[in-house]
Amino acid sequence: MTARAGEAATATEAPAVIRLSGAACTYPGPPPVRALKPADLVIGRGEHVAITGPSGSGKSTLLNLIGLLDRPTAGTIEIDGQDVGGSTERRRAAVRALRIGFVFQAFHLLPHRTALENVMLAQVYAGVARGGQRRRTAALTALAQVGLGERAGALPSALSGGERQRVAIARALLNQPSLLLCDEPTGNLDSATTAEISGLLEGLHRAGTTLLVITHNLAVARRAQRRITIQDGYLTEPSGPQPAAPDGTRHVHG
Amino acid sequence: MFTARRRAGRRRTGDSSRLRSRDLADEALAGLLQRPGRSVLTMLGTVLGIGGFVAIVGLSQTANGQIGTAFSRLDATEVTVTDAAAAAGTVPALDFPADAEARAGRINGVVAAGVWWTVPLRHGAVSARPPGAHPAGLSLNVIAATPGALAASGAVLRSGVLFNRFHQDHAQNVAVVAAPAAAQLGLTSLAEQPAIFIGGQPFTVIGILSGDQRLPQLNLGVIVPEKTALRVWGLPHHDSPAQMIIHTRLGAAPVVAGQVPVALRPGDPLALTAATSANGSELGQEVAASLNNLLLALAGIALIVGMIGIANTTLVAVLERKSEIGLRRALGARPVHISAQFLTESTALGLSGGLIGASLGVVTVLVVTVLHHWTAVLAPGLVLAAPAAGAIIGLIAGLYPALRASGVEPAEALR
Repeated sequence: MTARAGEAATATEAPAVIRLSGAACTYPGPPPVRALKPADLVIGRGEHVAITGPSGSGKSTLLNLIGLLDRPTAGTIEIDGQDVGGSTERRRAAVRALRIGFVFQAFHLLPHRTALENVMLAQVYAGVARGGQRRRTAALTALAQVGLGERAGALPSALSGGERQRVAIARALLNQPSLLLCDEPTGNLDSATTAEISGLLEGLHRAGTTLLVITHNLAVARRAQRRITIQDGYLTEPSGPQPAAPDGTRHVHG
Repeated sequence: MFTARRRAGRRRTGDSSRLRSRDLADEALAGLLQRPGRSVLTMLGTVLGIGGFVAIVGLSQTANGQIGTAFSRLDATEVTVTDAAAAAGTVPALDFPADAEARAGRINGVVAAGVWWTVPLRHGAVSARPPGAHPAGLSLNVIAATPGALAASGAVLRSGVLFNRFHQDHAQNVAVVAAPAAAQLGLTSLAEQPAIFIGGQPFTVIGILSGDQRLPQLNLGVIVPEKTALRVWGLPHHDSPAQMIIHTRLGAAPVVAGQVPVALRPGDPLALTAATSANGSELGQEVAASLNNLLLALAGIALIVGMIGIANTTLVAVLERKSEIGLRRALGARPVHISAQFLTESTALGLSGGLIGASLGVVTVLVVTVLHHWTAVLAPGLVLAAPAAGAIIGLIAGLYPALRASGVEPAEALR
């Protein structure tokens, strides 16, 4: 339903943020591994989508394709209506810099730089002009947006796991991307911090950010409007509204 | 509000991501400062190599400069002819002809020339008092010299006159006394034509020397005309044979040295040996040059070791920072941006090593120069080229690691 609504909106207004058409990925063998079977997926602007699936199901492959870190062996990928699956590395790097914000399980903060400097790293390749306090101000705004305005000068080693992930989210938001791509954003966090981070992501979604969250954690997945599962390289999306799992029987294990 | 900002962001579409040079410099510097200790150790080889180059070349230039200013004018205008046959013999001999001075003077380029030798006398042969008086005489050098020898040696008078051709031709008993010898003999004024006794013979002192440029032997002694010495004491002893000193025009010394034995002894030129003073230092320069080459080779080895050190450290950094590379790729860096960063880091290491090395090299040259009371001579081009050489070494060292860094697969590095 939601996907329909997304497509309808696409047809009349802006193009979908993500559109996979028969996108597949096969790693050359021997034997060749068909990590992702031909898949169709449309994510409209402002949607919050969760993808769950066990290890080895093709989650990482899907993430790498959507994040333009890998290329499909068949089909097309469009981001904001532009086909980027087969475009030049130069073009794809520009799309990564400006249209996709990455949030990783391992945070990937540079250990010798403060929270603010880590956030500002996102401006280095995005063509943001230097000069004055423009970059600094934008980075401080992004930190404030994730509730870390007071810890801008702290080194990652002085931050808790949840705070580190908030810094990473601020970094991902800095260039106002079309899509926030989160790969197990709570995989390294305890349950209290997990709730805190998924609450933050939900808040971002309400403010208009398009979110794609790949996760093992059902509590995190349940916050999404759409839940897509991936198993053995096949994407499946249960149609219709999905009730919250009442007793954990629908847990996806990984 | 948020949506509006995002729309604004969407209009700012670039077809390619970019890396400003200031950002590149900042990122590379941050990379180096992450591990300052390692960066300094990595630089060490380049510091030693560049510093060695600057110090060796600087010291060699400085030393050459000293030789040039101190000796070249005298060196280049002096020829010494020694009586090889007499020195090899066992009896007193004089192989210079009686008209040696005139013969040498006819050679083109000769300013002045003359024969001299040290007269062998017993100790205490020189005295201001007649023989038999007490105390006994002084042991002073007694030197037989032609007037031309005094002119060629650059003798400078303090008072009186030098003996001339008249004194020489008539074998007059006259003497010129060096200032220290005059003081020892109690000679203060020449107004009353004082006499001294040499080996019992009276000599009239007609001049007092204040110094001599070329023949230090004159500075402590008593000089008498050559003919007088021959008349009184006979031929020079084979232990201190006669020599000829020739003052030539600048640059003429080697040519004169080649001609003078033939001019003096057409029948037996080999009896005499002519040498320019430069001959001695030519050998010294050859020795110094080969030593310099050896040291330069060592500095070159240090540079190569330094380059390998930078290459090794940068490669280790690439392997250690794979996840950083993956992150940068995810943030929009192209492979060329990654390469540029690691190349800039290695070049900065080489440049810093070159700067520090050049500074240490200059300091070394200055310290040695001050200790020797020399004037430092250092080509400015060398000092400026040294850091540039360091930067090139760093750049070359970074090529392979940068290639490796650009090949890192982001999806793999971020796992």
